[in-house]
Amino acid sequence: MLKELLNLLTSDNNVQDLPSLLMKELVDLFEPDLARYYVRENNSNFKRQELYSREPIVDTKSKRKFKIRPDSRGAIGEAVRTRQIVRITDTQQAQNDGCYDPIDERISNEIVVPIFARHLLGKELRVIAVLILSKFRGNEFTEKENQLVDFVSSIINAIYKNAFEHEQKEKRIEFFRAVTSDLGSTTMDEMFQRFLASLSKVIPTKFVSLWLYNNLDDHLVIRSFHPQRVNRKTVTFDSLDSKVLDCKTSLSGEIIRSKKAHIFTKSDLSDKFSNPQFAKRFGLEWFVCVPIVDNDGNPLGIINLWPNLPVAKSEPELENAISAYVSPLASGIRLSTLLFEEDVLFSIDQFFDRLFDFVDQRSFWDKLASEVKDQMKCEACSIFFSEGDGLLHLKGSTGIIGDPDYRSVIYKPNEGLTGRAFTTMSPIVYYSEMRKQFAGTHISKFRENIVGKSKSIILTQIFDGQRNPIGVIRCNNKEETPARHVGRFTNEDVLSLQKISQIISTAHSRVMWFKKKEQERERNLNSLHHEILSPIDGILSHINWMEYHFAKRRLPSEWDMDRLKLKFSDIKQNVRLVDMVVASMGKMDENVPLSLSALQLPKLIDVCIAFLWNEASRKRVEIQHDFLGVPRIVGDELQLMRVFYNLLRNAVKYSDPNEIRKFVRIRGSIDRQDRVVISVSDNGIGVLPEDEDRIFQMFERGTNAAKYFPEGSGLGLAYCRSIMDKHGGTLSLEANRIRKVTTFHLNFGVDSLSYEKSPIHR
Amino acid sequence: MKKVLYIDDEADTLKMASVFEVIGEEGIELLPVSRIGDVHIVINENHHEIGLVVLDIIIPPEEFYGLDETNGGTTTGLRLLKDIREVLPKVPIIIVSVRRMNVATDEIDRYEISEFIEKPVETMQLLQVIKQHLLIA
Repeated sequence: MLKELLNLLTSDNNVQDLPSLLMKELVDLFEPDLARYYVRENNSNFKRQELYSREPIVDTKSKRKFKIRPDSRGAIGEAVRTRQIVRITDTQQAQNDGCYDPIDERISNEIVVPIFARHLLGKELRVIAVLILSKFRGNEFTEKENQLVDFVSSIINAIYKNAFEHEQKEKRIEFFRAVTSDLGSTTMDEMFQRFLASLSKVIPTKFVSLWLYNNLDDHLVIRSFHPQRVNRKTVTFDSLDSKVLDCKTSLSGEIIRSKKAHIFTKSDLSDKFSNPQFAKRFGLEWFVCVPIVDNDGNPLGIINLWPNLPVAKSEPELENAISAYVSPLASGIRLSTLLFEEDVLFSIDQFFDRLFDFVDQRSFWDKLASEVKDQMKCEACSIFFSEGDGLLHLKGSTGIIGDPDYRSVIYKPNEGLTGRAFTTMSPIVYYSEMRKQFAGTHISKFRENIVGKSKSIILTQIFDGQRNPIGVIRCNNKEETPARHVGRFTNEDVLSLQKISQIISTAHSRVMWFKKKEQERERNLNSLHHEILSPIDGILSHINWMEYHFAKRRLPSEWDMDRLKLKFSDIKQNVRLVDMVVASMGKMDENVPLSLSALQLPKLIDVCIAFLWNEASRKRVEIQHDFLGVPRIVGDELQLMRVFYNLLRNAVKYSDPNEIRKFVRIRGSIDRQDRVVISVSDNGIGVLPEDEDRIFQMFERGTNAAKYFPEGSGLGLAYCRSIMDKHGGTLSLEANRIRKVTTFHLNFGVDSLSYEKSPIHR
Repeated sequence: MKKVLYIDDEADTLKMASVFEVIGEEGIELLPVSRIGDVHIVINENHHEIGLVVLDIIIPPEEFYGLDETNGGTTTGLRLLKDIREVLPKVPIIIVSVRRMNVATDEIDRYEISEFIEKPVETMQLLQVIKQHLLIA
């Protein structure tokens, strides 16, 4: 019989088949009165899987007790804790000691054999099942049997180790195959299902949800979840507290930003956690949040996974194991671009991109009008948009009463029904019997024929993000249906048209936003390109000029030499700009440490002024400076030079061409807190109040600056501010609009005050 | 020979002086304009003498055009083109700009742009193109 047990060790058996095979062998070997096999569930209880009884069990109370046993109490509890065989020789005594919970009064002695294995997620051995052999009074285990149990236990555990590890390995391979296989043209939902199927075999999960990321408004929207029932309660979309998560204020949003999988345990579920009621109701305690990232590293969404494992808070190892497991999952989900094209909703960006292409085409608006016509079940629909000229232009039209000649259909706001609808917030409803009442005031003569053909008309506004009207949708004549009143719109129709207008308005404002961003990008690129190319262009023109002269064998004059020298300062400026662009791409030199030394600021500023002297004299800008009593400070010479150069160059560059006496003033002083302050003032074109904060952001330029000097990278001030931040100082703007003076204050922090007080000096 | 209207915000700088000097020595008379407000004045004064327009795209719109219609001044030249075409419908126009992408193909067709030169510009290349178009005109 032992031999057969040993045969099990070498044969390939599934873990599922093992209990019944083992039980058979053990019953033959030990001849117990009662034998039970319990499997440990994830929620840490033991559930009976196999039962052998020599005599039938009649007590219904005991029957129930047989089924589920806790893992923390009694003999099983001890076996779980010690992973040793537990022998109870005197059940009566053990019961008195409180370490035995009897299930049958006849049992006199019992042996609990723990079966343990290494779960693929954890490093430690865990008891996954127990075998309990019981004997009734008068049929005690013999000494020989007791010894045999030890031996049998080790064989059983070896069998399990083999089978279990083999199975885990298979699962693991299958899982990786599933998440890394070529997804081809499968849709997002199919992929999610496939992923879930393989995942559930590896990590037992209670609940998994998929959220998609919309980068336009920085929100996550739930797309699907699995399963539909959790802890015997039905899950619907309504069960969730929030179906849309703001990435700024949610835990999942943090993952979108960090792009790294993270485990949120009970202690993490702060006020940022968006679904507390949901988690409470379905008994979900901790979750793993996995980002889905495309091949370019852009976040596409997240998967929230609620594992069905003992609470991870006390088991950091398990946590580590899961996150190690989950990160290949994140990178393993390779979403081909093909997938996006098929799944429009998933790629909101591309959807709007496409809309953006169409937005100026008449066919798009005609199509939209016919869509609205179908939805509203009406005879005609027209969509009008205001094009900034104070008139309403027909963009798209459909149906028999729609105007085919687009050019002629122009409405004035507040004139006729359409114009009226443009200026009124609430929708307008017209029935043919009101014609007399409306005629003249609300129905323009021009449109009499359209109104004449209509039994009823409804019109509503289309608005932009600030709820300002931008257009009108008009529907004429409800399609006649036998059951309804012939050809008239009802209140329900008005409501649905309002909903449609809401959708069009949202889509339109998004498209406009997108268009604006696109324009901004183009503008920045153009001006940056221009900034870099302009000096090169100048240099080239001089080389060409020299070539031309040399070809005619003329010698350059002194004035020509001066021109050449000027070009060298152009080159220097260009190099500086390239420097700045590169730095801005590398996040503004954040990682470059400061190379500190004691600096005399007046000297640095003098060098910068020398660089700018030519440009200033050409523009007739007077540069004045005053640095009385400014002590030496500790800072990075090169980086601070850049700050001064940028500010001074801006002051010279943005001088007002209409100003008679143009000046740039640099003042160095010490404020009341003993801090060094350098101020650069000018009476140039100035900064508008609404631009004051914006100009310090990357790629942002002031309105005035753009008006007079379209070329400019919009990087200079952002760069200066970042350098000042690194020095523990500040860069601020003060605009005196009455005296027309703009001042930039460089305030150096207390610590870098003077050389004498600095740590370097000590 | 007819004159060349050269519109570039840097037309009054030393950089352009080198270019203009070479073009001038080749016997071509230039009308350099650096500020957008002066374009109409110069065109009015020399309406019948202008045989060619060379136009930069990135020009400060100043008070004459809005920042929206010129995309922050980076397409001022295209906006100006529309106005120039109204008064000089037949004159060949050469665009000089940093990126060809700035000008959409339909705009090239609509305003009948004769040539597009990308910066940085070789003076001799510019000279050749100017001569070519002036002769045709």
